[in-house]
Amino acid sequence: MEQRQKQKKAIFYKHRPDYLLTLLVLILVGIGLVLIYSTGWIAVLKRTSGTSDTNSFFITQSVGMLLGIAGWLVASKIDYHFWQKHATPIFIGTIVLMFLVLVPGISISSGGATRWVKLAFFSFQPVEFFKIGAVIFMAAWLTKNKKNLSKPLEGLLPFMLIISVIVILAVAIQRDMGSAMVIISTMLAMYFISGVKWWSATIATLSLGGVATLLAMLAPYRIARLTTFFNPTEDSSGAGYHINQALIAIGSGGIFGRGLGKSLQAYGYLPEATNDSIFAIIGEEAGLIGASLVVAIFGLLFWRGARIARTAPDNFGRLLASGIIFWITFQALINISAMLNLIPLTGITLPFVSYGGTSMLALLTAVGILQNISKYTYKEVYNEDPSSGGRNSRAHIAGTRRHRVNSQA
Amino acid sequence: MPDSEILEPIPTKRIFYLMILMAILGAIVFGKLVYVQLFQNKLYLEKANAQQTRKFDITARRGQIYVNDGNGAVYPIALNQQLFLLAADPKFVKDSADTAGKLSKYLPGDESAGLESKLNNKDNRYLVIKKSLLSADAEEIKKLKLPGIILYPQDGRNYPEGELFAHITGYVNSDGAGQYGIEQFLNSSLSGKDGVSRAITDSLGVPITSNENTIIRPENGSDLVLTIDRNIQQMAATAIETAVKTNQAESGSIVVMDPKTGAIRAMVNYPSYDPNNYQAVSPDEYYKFTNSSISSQYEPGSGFKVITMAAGLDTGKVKPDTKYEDTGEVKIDDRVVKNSNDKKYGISTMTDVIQKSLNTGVVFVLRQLGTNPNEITSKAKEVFYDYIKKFGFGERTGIELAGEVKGFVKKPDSYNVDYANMSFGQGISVTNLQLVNAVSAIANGGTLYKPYIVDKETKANGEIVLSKPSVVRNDVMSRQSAAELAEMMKQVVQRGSGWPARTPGYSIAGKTGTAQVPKSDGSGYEESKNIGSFVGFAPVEDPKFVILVRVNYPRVDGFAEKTTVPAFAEVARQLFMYYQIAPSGN
Repeated sequence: MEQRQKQKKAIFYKHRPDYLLTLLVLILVGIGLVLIYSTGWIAVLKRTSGTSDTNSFFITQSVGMLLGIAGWLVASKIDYHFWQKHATPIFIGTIVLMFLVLVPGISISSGGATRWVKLAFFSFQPVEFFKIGAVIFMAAWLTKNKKNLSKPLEGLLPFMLIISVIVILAVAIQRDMGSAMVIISTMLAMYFISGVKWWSATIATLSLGGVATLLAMLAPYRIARLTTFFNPTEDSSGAGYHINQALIAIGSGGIFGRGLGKSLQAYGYLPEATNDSIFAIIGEEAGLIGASLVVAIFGLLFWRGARIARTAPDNFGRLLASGIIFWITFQALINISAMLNLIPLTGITLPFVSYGGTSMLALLTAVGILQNISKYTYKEVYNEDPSSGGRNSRAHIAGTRRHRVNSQA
Repeated sequence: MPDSEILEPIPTKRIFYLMILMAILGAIVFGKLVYVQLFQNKLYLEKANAQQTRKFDITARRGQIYVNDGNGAVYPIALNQQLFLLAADPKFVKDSADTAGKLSKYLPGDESAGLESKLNNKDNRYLVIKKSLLSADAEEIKKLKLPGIILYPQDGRNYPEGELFAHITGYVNSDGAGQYGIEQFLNSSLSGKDGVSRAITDSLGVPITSNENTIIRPENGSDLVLTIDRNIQQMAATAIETAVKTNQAESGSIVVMDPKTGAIRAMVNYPSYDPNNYQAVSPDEYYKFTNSSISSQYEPGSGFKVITMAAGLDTGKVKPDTKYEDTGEVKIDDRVVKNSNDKKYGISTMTDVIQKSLNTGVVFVLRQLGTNPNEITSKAKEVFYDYIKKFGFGERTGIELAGEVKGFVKKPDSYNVDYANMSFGQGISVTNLQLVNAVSAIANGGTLYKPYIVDKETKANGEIVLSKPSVVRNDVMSRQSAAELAEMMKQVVQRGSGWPARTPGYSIAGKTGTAQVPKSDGSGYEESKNIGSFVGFAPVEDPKFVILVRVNYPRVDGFAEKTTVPAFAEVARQLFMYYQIAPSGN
């Protein structure tokens, strides 16, 4: 270790992107498509009383996937520092999109919340883009203010103010507590990774936790979900109904599940069977084996994302990569935990798998950004052997296209 | 970023911490997943089954009831039919007055009254207007397209013959359960067994195609053909209606039985009711539902003397020509028994006792049964009691009709005077069916059959069960003594109170009975009320039928010969023709 400190050099390479990340994401998208194809038609039947094409969910999801892959390809070609330069306008742009839900005539309400914007030919949920905007903005802001982050007035206070703005936008306008929770947690994770003092991170976490609790108490329908969380069987028709039905779906799946397309809970019992509750359908149809596989894929995804963040060549890349991967996997964690009655229901989707075109587009674009970051590797090497991959396990990624970009003692 | 930018070392430990945090959270999720899917699997499978599967009852078709018409043709007397329940949701009724007006055509007066105000009560969301609406009416109401008016299909029952078979069939109530008669007694064979299907359904209860769905098909009810002959039933119904009306009586019954099998050919009570509209019977007229031929027990009066005489003849204690002196009264302990008309007949034979219906004579027979012919010994009472039981009194006959009663017979340890009264039919109660069945045993030479009314049961699977005559006992009395008794009863028609039934060329045996009606408080008998009965059979040498006619509380003066014998004669004469019985020489 002493030797390393004396002789190490930091270099970074540009090379092939992380294709394992690509593969994992594609598997998740594929699982979602298969489920929506095999089971989504039931939800369509239930929702529209058989008046619309039973494949409409599958078609929408496929279109979302194609758009998402386009977004992914574009984002992966754009040098991620582009986002750093334009972080503020991008963030403001996504905020403006959020305000569209307040414009009468183009907004769609459902389940006590207005989260959709309907334009001439398609509808989308602006909060999904807002998540990307917030992560980009936060990564840029943290990078810019790196020196002052731990200071109460120059660092902590502005950070809290930014978060407050985000919360107000997400919760007050969108009434979307789930998304707000994911964004706040992501912001906190990024703040923590940026290298602030432990006490700053602790204060931020505690105070945001307090605010979140306060907000939950102000929104009555959220209270219902919370109280239901502590006693799910008491209320079998309201919020508790949803959790109970999810548990019945997962629990009845057993080890091997009922088989693909053989869900019974999808027949009107389980609310949002192809959206928020799709994990429960996986548990019912594919059993412990399938459900664990999905959990494992998200675990692997986090591992790959965290690895990209760790080896990212600069602070912004590191924070942006951390933010994106934390957002995606934490959202998955929240969704799955709610289905398992570990936390209250918040009404967010399972990334890549749940039905939703906008969500798919935003997520795949975010993965594209991550992919771009993965093309650059920061690495510490020894003086004698600057070009070797050495003992490291990244050789297979670096591969033949690896080239030395720079080195510095 | 230019490639040449200088890298600043960044702490990566924080990312590592975050990975640990996520790993812990992931492990918790995985742990809960294993718990729910592995350890709670059974619990949630049960919960899933409980909510996803539903039982659907499949109603079995109720069996229908038919009767013969004597020429081999069968007539339906109870059929299934589609009925409707007429209801309203007043909230959606637009014009209450108009709606009530249009519906009143289909409702009995008392039901349409107040309908308008009920329809104006918009808080009531469900108002039943009429049950068991006929489908023709329902079709018409449907065409009116009245808003807020609802028609629900109901399984119903139609009785094409109306009142004629009401007491035999009974009816089926709105819950689908048979009430009274065969509908009640044989409800389980008629209703069959409902089937059940268990299906996986969606949350609204609509079945989903699944190979886990099971179905148990319903077993339809049996169709029944009765022993009743529709033509005889019609004859009996007409005769009893005439008898009740001409005697200004309260009610009356006729039972016709085949003495060689125990099969019931007719059983009518007047007044009757229409089982198609049983709801129209008001609570104070509910007695109309009961089949008084089996459900009403009464003191038979003189008709019962034939049973006393049967005991005397069969034990050999008396012969038809056994003589005794009638002094007009008999002292038993501290009581005096007199003849009904207070006359003295002097030296009389046993035939005279039956023909003239002498109370003193049957008390004489009762005394002969015991160890001391000058008094009623306990042996006499025991022997008499045995014969009463042999003839089937005091027990239900077991006919396939609901509501049969046992009657009442005093035990041999009763007072002597009670037994003396019983010898001429007082202080004992019987049903029409018991009496007609006992006389059948006399007519056929000593065999007591179990009366039956179901001739043929056709089960849903096509299996046919034919009823066979069932002998309760064939030693009620000897053929010889039965013939002697029949001959005595013939004299009742030839020379006695049964004279209005005398029919040239036909030998008819019978016995009238005019019974007093005990006061409901048990303090003696009603003065102005009596029950007249006549039970008889013909032809005596080869009996084809036994007929019992009973008329309750006639308001014209006179004994049974006036109230009941004409009805008997009417039915008997029609039967001679109907059965094509050739007249014999005498």
